[in-house]
Amino acid sequence: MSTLLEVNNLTKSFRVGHRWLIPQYQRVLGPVSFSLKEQQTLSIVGNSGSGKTTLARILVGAEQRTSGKIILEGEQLEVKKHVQRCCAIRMIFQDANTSLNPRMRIGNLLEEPLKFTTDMPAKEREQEVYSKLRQVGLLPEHAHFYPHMISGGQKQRIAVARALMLNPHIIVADEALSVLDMSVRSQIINLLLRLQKEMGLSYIFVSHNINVVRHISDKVMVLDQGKVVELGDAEQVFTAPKHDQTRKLLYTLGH
Amino acid sequence: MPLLDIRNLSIEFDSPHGRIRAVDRVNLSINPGEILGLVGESGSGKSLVAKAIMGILNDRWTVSADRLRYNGVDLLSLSAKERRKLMGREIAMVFQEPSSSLDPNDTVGHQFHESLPMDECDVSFFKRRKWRDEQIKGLLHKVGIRDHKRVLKSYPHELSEGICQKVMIAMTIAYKPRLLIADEPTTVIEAGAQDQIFKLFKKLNQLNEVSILLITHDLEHVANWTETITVMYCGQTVEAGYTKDIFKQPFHPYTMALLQSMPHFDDLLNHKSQLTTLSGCVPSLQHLPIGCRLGPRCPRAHRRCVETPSMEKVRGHYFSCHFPLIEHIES
Amino acid sequence: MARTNSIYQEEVIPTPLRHIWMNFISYPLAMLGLWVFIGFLIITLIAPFAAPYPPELQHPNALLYPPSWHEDGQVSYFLGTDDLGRDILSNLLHGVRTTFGSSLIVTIFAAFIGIFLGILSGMSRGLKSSILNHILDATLAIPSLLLAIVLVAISGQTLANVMIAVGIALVPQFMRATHTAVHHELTREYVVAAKLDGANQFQIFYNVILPNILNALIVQFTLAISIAIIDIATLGFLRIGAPAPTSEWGTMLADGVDLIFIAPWNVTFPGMAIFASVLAVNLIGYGLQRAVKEGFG
Repeated sequence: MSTLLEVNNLTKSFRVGHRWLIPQYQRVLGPVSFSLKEQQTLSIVGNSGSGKTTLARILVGAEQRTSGKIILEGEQLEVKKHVQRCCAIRMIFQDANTSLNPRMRIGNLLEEPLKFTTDMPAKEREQEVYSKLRQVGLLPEHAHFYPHMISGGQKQRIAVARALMLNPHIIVADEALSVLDMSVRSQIINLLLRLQKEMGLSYIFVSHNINVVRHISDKVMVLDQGKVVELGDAEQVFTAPKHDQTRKLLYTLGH
Repeated sequence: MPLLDIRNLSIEFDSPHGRIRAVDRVNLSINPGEILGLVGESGSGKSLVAKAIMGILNDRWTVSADRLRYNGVDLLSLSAKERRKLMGREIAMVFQEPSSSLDPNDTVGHQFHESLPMDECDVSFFKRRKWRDEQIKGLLHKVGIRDHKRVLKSYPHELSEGICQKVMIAMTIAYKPRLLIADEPTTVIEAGAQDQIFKLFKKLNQLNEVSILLITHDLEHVANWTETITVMYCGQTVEAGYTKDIFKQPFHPYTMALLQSMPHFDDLLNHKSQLTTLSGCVPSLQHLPIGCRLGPRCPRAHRRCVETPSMEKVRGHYFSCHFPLIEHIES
Repeated sequence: MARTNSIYQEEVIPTPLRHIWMNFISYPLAMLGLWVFIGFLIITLIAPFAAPYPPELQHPNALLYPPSWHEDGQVSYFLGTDDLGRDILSNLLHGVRTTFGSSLIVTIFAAFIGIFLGILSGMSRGLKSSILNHILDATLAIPSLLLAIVLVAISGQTLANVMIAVGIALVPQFMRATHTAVHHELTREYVVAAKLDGANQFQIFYNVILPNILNALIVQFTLAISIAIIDIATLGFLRIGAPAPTSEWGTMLADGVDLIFIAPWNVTFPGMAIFASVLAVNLIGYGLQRAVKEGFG
């Protein structure tokens, strides 16, 4: 299994103000380094404010990193080249209610990535959209609906279908399950596990639900205030946490 | 005598498709000093039940019940004025998003000053402000906020959701209610503060004898913090009883599916295996199934399930299912 | 998207625009405004054929005749005549073209320019956006009527100049509304999602932002029409609008003010015409606002 993604010394600083006309920066995400193989799931856990969402957004291209290297499938990722990225790494957003354009039909929404980055003819795009809808467990008829007409769980499935659209190798899920009810959550987890087996995907999961994390991840990274506190295999981190912060986090999350 | 006694509560509304029964003959009862968990997914109608008890549903909804009694008083027969008197003093409610329950234009301290009850104030006019400050400080310390000065000076958007929720709870216990209804109080709060809120509820229950109706969709919350649970699905009560009994042996297929869909931290499931779930999704209000509303999704459904099952009781454990998950029924 | 293999054949899913239209139809007041508006539009088109007399034709033997339902009036001068013997009905009908028709044209042009500039400034970021923002605020501070008066005073008193002046005065409002709407939309999650799908700036604008700001723009357009009508009529009333012999409601009002006690119909009918047109447009705007707020859920 080859290494799909390698991250070296990624940092992110925000400008917090000026002092005597010189902008002051504050580092919110310390040096982060990890690697991800095929069909592997890496989970990022931490308290709120620990920088996990920032890391997820940097990886997928929604925010720019301040320094560090991201090497995806052997090629270095430039800071602004979205077209290069979106065929290899895509994101499932946290809240499907706000991340789906309310004025577009679902079919049009899903064929947007195809329209923007490839030159497939319309008929082929339609077939691709229908096949992805079937893969996430919805009917092709749903392509004519608007997002406000379907339930929350189905909206999240649409978000998964959109992330699958360009057949990426890595999918980043930023707290995609925390707003869902329990039975819908387990349905989406089953869907993601099935897709991982069928399509050979790797996942980067950001979550604060330890039960789910333990069930689906191979590696776990614990963040605290932007710094990597622990990084290792899931079993090892949960049964024998090395760092105090990890122990405290496991305790506050209920174990 | 139970503090809150609800029998066959139904809430309906008129739509272009006809009269829709969003909540269908729900039973609920809370004893004094008890914490009851009302568990259900979104769409199960649990918020509607809470709002019907408080009387804050708008005119579109029709509420009818055989019994809707608080402390022996029938809530449906009260006039609006009497209802308001009851609501403020005896029953209090805490909502889901605490920072939007507070006025964003005003500091927390100012709002707290406004909402503090002055019934028990027996000091002269000039000493009132100081008395109020003392009361507020005491209440905030009771809910676990140590740096009360900073919190009182801040606006709601500057505080985290956990602290806002504690402030809301402090505002409600200022009235010394006997029943506190918490409608999904911890959904938007991060995990560390969630524990603190539940511990606070437990403390209030034990020290001040406040009964709590905890409405949530997460079974993990009710497992540790409640004594009895009522499980609702799509507007119908499916199971009710002591928490320990239900978790040890659920009788209704829906409760069983809920319990199985939580991947446990202990090693009961193979890593990365498929979880057991019910197929399909919660029906929308326009297409409610007749009879038992779990029918289309239930793995144990038969033709009899087009009749709504009545509630049966086995050793303090209520369930409504034609084909429950127990070997033999005693009566 | 092909519909031939759809199993839900009896349900036609309305587009959001169609949903808003169906909401709009259910408000009787708004529909009334719409019918009056359409009536004015038709008159704009057929005025030269419908008016009984040419508007500037003076009838020396028919001075100050009252409207025809009065005992002294005559049917041939249906709404009476003014002090120079001109038929009020014909003047009114031709005035529809001047006041109402030109305000429509003016608003359309101002909308195009204002929306285009507003989109450019709304989609920009950083220093450029900040500068444009401040310039916009400055232009908004100038009252539109004053700006129009100054422009007409500078460039001379013709109908074209009046239209250009009122149009220029309307542009800042469109710019501002569009800028705010676009800026607000850019903060949404689905714009980030579209960017991650590989869209460039123009594609983001056309596919994602434009459908969502259409509502705000349509409402702003109807408000601007009513402002344009009142501005043109005011300029005419102040006698710096379109010069005689162009018939214009504001000018008719100004001419009739002296006669208000002896021949009030000179003032009443143009006044009612202005009132009706502005009310119709405002009712349409009100109906649209409500229809949009109800949403398409």
